[in-house]
Amino acid sequence: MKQRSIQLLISTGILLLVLTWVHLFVLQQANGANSSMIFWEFQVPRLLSALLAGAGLALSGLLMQNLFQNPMAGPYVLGVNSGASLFIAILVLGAAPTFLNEFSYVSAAMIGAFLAASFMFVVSKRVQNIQSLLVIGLMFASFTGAIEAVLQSFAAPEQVKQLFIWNMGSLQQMSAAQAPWMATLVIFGIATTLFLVKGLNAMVLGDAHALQLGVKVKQLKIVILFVTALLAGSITAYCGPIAFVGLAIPNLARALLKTQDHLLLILFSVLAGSFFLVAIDVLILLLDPWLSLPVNVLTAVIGAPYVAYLMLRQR
Amino acid sequence: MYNPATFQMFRSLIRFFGLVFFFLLLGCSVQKTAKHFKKENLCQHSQYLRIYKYQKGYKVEILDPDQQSKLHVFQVQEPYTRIAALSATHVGMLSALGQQEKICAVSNAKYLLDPRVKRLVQLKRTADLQTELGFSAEKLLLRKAQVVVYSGFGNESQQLKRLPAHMLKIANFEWREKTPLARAEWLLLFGALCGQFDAAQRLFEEIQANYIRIQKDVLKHHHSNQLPLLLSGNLYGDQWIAPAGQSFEAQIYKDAGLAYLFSKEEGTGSVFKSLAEILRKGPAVNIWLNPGLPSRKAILNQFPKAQFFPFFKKPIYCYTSKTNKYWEQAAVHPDWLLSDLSQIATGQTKKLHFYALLK
Amino acid sequence: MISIQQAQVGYQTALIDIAQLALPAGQIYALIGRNGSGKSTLLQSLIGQLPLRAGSISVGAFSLEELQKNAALRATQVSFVASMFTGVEALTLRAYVSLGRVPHLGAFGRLQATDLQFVDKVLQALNLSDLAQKDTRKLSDGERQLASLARAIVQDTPLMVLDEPASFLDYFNRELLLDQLQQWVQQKSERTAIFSSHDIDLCLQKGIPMLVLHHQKLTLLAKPTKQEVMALL
Repeated sequence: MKQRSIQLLISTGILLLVLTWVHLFVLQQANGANSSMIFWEFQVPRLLSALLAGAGLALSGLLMQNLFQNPMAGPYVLGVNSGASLFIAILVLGAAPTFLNEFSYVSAAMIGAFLAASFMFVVSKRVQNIQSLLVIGLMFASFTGAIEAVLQSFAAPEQVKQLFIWNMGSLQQMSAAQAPWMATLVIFGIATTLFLVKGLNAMVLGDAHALQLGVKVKQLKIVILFVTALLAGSITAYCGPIAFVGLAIPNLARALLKTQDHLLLILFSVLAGSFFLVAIDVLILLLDPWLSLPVNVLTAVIGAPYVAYLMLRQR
Repeated sequence: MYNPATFQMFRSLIRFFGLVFFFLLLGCSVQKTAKHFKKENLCQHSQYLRIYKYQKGYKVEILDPDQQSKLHVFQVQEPYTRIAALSATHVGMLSALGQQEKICAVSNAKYLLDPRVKRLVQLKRTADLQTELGFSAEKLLLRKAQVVVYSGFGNESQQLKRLPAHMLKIANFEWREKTPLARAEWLLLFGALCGQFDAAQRLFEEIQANYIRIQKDVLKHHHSNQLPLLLSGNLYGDQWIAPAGQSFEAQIYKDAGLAYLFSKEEGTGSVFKSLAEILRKGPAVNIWLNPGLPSRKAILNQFPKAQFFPFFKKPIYCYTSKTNKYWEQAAVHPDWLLSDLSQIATGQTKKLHFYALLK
Repeated sequence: MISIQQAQVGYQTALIDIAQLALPAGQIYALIGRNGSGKSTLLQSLIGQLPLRAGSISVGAFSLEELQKNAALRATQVSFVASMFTGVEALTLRAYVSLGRVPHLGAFGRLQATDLQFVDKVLQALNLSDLAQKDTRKLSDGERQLASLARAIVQDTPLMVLDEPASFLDYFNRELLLDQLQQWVQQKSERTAIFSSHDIDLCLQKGIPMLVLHHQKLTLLAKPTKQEVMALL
């Protein structure tokens, strides 16, 4: 069993490397690789965005699914992204332009993500089934959307336009200067999660069981919340909201690896998440001469049917 | 020999042919008078607007650009006095004819240019409906509007359905026209509505003459193989949105002596291009037009990586955005727009109506 | 060895009052009582989930208070089997049983060769080896309960507490479970198991010492007879 898992991990890793090279190559064709500035300022950041966002979102989804003990949890579906969006909206629409730097964006997004995740977590304790929780997640998203709309009515058109653009989600917004920051945050998130493997494995049996196995459940949950917020928040700050990756990839990991060993799940989710987003970006690049598609459209087109399939299977 | 029977026969034949000939003549003259009564479409450029003059007034037909069928057909006998102008362009056209008092409602008075209309809004004689998309039908009714002119690109249909039948609802498709002059010709619609048709026609002819004059001027002075390359539009998310090759913007760029980057793109609306393509084609661009932002700093605020655009250091021009000047007047005055653009093309900008060089 | 001193067990109010009780190790004990008498509550206290209202209980060398504060320590001293385990998707029987080793594993939760061997041995003893790769959701109730027992055995603690472990099992599995429990307790010294049960007859038949919960008191019957038990309840 383990052999197979390791094989799967290695092949995914190799595929990812190949795809990375393909991405840069196809991008070069599209951009007309005659400028090293374009390469470093546009092409490489775009690839890095895809790699980091894919890895981070998939991992965030895995953690949320463990925390809520439900495979239907994900940063987008449970409103964590909405929380991040709302705080970014408050920042953009409320703060003076001098405050609008990188640090403030990312902080705002992380705080928003953390608050949303905590809120949803508390709510989940009082709610019987996942359908109700999903509905509450949707209501929360509507609520934050409504508040954003109210804020927008007081804002200048440029700010509103800025926010609207940001809300679309994009792998091309991140600049080369920002890349090291995003990389640091995501890698930090992954590293922290690796140290939680034992606890995550035990949590699969439920809080009481995990407690009996010696896991400090309360502390673990807070750390999970924090890491999820860190990942989802920072990625949302750099790329805008990107849907379905967090929800679909961890489920795929469990289905393919047939294990609840979180070391394997983490590694696979990270690799597969990166692969997924890079693959989607390659697709966007290939379709470019005929169609110009935003990222979220493709993640939805591919992700939504898979998620629907998962939901049906749940019943 | 004289045969009375033959003579009779002859006479009948002549009578018969005479009758035929008479009827033929009659028919011809009836044809001629019919031609004499056939109306001429007074709009020469517009594809979607037709105006015919009658003794008592004007007959207006507005065609649906998508279905090529007649969307609105109505007669104007008495000039209207209470018109709701829901778009800046409509305000601009009515103002150009000096008919500001007839505007009973506008949307978004905040950015109005025309001082008379602003004053009317201040005096509450003209209502501010806040936004065009989702205007309030009740407010229009309260204002006793007789005519509602809408743009046909919002989801106004919901609200329009709630307006009473006696209120004239007219779609203004000037923005769907394919040439700048066809767009300006919609001035005649407003002229007809306000009883100022002749004035409108005179103004239009003036604009047209001006436009053609500038056009000829451009042709005389430019060298067709050294035209500056223009890029229009800006990045929204992952996509660059710019006018398509057969839009009236593309037309006016051509008339101004500019080579347009997307002149070969099909369509009369907008094209959506990827950032990758813009970067690839970017180095050849000489002028960037209409980024929709007032300064380089604002552009960077929106998209920090714009500093790496190959054309970022080239001249950038945009319409001033503090007021709706561009939106109110550019449609009516394509000649001013052409003048601006031809100056931008040569780089010698003496007097610009709408544009400013970005710092 | 479990010794109880003046302990009061309960949530809001004192449900059970135990003056003094000593349970020698090396035995399995059946906790008997009427419905609602507080069996589960007592067990929850024993596994450190519910703090004592008063008094003290010690499990081997440690007091319950110590164990309650230190989850990691407790996991090496007390293991718990619930009445039902519904299984987890993508969790195989072997993986589930292996989770019992968690208190003994390092930070990354990696199973060493010795751990794996131990797990396999236990699976074999319980006749579960053939089902090792099966998804826990697809097992029968009996198989799952045996797996839970296996997991507790693998946890290798001096005290094992079981809350009605045989309630949902058929006759054969019930016998098997109790036999295995007996064997486990006798394999190593200082092992104790306490399980709650409704099946008084089976316990009497097997001569299992009983802890009878009655009228808010706990009485130990080392060699119970039916009359004794009935008299108390």
